[in-house]
Amino acid sequence: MSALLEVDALHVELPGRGGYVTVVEELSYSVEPATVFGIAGESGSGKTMSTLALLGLLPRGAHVGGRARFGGTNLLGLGPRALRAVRGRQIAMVFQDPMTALHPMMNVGRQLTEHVRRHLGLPKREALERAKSLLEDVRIPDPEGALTSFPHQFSGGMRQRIAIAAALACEPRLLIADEPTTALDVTVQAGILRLLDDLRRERDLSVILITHDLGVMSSIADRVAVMYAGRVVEAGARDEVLKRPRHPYTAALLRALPQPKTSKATPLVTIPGAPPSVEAVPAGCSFHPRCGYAVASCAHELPPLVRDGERIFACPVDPFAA
Amino acid sequence: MSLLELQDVEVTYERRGRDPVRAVAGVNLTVEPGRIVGLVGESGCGKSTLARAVTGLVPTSAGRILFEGNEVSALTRRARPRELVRLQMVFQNPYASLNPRRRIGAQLAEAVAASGVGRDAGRRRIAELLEVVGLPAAAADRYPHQFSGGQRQRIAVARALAVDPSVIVLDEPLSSLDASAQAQLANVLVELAHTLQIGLLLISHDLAIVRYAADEIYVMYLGRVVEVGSADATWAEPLHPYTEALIAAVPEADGEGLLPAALPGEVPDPARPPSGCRFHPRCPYRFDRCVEDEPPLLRLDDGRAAACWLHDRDRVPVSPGAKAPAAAGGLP
Repeated sequence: MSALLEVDALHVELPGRGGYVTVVEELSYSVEPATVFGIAGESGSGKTMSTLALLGLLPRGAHVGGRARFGGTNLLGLGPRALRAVRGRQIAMVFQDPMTALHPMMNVGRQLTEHVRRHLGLPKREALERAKSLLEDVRIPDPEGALTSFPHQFSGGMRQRIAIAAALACEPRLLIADEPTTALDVTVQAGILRLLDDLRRERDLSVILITHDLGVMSSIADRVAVMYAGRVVEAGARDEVLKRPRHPYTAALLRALPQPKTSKATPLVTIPGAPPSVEAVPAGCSFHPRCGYAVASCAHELPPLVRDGERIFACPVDPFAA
Repeated sequence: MSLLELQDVEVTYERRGRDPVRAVAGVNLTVEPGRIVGLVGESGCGKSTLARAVTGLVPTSAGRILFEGNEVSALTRRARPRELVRLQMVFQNPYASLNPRRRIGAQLAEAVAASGVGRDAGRRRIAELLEVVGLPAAAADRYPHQFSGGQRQRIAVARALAVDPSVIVLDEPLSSLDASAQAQLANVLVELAHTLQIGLLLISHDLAIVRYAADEIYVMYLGRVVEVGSADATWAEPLHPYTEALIAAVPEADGEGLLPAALPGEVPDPARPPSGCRFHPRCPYRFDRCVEDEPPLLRLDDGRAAACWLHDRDRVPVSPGAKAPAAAGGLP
C-alpha cells in the first residue's frame, strides 16, 4: 500500500523580531489511506505549523524546506493557484473553534453549497441535496431544518459537526483536524471522535489529528508522532508508543496524566520547568534540561532518530530499562 | 462554622421578551478550611455562574451565601467590602487577568500592599508567594508574556494568595493548560490547601483532573447538583447516571484504541428544563417516575448524595432498566 501523504525532512522558519526562528525541523512521516495519524505535543511544539506549511497557509515571509508528496505532486513546490485547488478539494481542515471556519451571517445551507458549487461546479439544487446528505453523514438531527439555520443556533458540538460537513463537502482524501475537540465537553468530544472514526471507514478518509491530549490520540489514531520543540522525538504505532514509550518525554507526558484506574493517593508526576520558547531552544537534545535521564552528552549532542522496527525515537536512554 | 456556605442559592438571568433562565436552581454547598471542593459539570450547567455568584460578580435571586459568617451580596459601584477581601477568585484565562505591560513583581506588590505589608517586608513576601507556586524569585522582574500559560496561571494564584485569603474560588484554572502544566498546578493547589489551610472551590469540566486535586466533588447538571461525595468514591463508583456518563466519556491514553462512550442528545435549554428529572431525556436508566417527579438530592451512606430515583430506598419496583448504575455496567 502506498502512502497518501509522505512528508520528508520538513523544515519551517518564521520571521521573528530578532531574525528567523526555526519552528519545525527534520520532520518526516507518512499517512496511509483511511488511517488516522496523530501528532501530539504541547503548545509551541510546532505541530500546527507543520501542517499549515503543507497547505501554504503559513504567515507571510515563512521559509519552508523539505518535500511533501501527496498523490504524485510535491505540495511544497506548488504555486498559490495550484495550492488553492488542493485546499478544500483534496485536503481539508477543521480547527479547534468551528466558528473560524463558519460564516456567522450565512446560513448553513449556503455555506455547505458554496464549496461544492465552486470546486465541483454543481447546480444549486443538486448542491443543496448534497449538503443535506452531508449533514446526515455528520449526524445532525433534522438536516433539512439545519440548512436554513445559522451557526449561532447550534451548540458547540453541533457547530463542529457542521464544520466537518463543510470540510467533507468536496470529498477530500485527507482531513487535517487541529485540536477538533479541545473546546468541547468530554461527552460531546466522545461523539466527535466516534464520528471521525466512522468517517474514516465510510469514506476512506485519511486524517491527521493534531492534539495535546494523549487520551484523544489514543482513542482514534493508528500511528502517532510526539513532537517537542519543533522535532519529532518519537513516532510509531499507537499501542507501541503509548504502552511502552521509548523517549523520556513521551513517558513523562503519560505520567503527568491523571490515571483513571489508580487511586488519587499518588500525586501527579510533573515534568519540571516549561517547554522552551522557539527563540531559545536548548542546545543538544532540546528536552535535556527537563529530563530525568539526561547525561552529560545530552547538553551538546543532538541524539539522532533511530529506528527499531516500526518505531523511531531520538534518545539513547530507554526510560523503562534505566 | 464553615468558611463558605451556600444555602439554596439560585441565580436567574432575566431576558427581555423571553423566559428567564434559572442558571443555578437551588444549590447547597460548603467549603471547610484546608479542603478542596471540586465543582464539575459541562457547558451550561451553571458552574461558572455559581462561581461568579459566590464572589459577588452576579446577584443571586434566592438563597444565601455566607463567607466567614458574613453575607456575600452582589458587587455595587462601591468598593468591595473589607470582610470579603479574604475571599479571592482566579479566572480561566491567565492572559486576561494579568497586566501585560507591568512586571510580575509590581502586580504582586500592589496586592501585597493591599494587605497592609510595608515595602521591604513586601519584597520578601513576593519572593515567598512565588516560591509557594513553584516559581523562582527572579520571576518578579519579568513580564507576563515571558511565561508559559501554566506559569501565568500560577502567578494568578500567587496574586490571589497575596491578601492571605481563607477561600479561593478557581474557575476552570486548569482547562487551557497542557498536561504537564495541568499536573503542576493541580499539585500546587493541593499543597496550598494542606499547608496554608485555605479552602478551595475548584470549578472545572474535567472530572479526571479534578478528582486528583479535590477532596470532595459536586457534580452539576442544568443548574442543579446531582451528586455529592468524596472524590475517590465518586470516581470509583458514581451514583448518578450523569456522573457515570461523564467518567465513561474520558478518553484513556492507554494505547488500546478504544473510543470513549458518547452521551446521546444535547444539554436542554435551561430556560425550559425537562419535566421531572432534568437528565431523564438522556438517561439510559430512566423509568416512569423520572419523567414526572424531580428527584431531590437523596442523602446516602458515607456522606454521599445523589439526585436520582434509583437510589430512593422506598422506590416501587419498576421497569427492567432500573437497577443501580454501578451494577449495570457502562452506558450503551
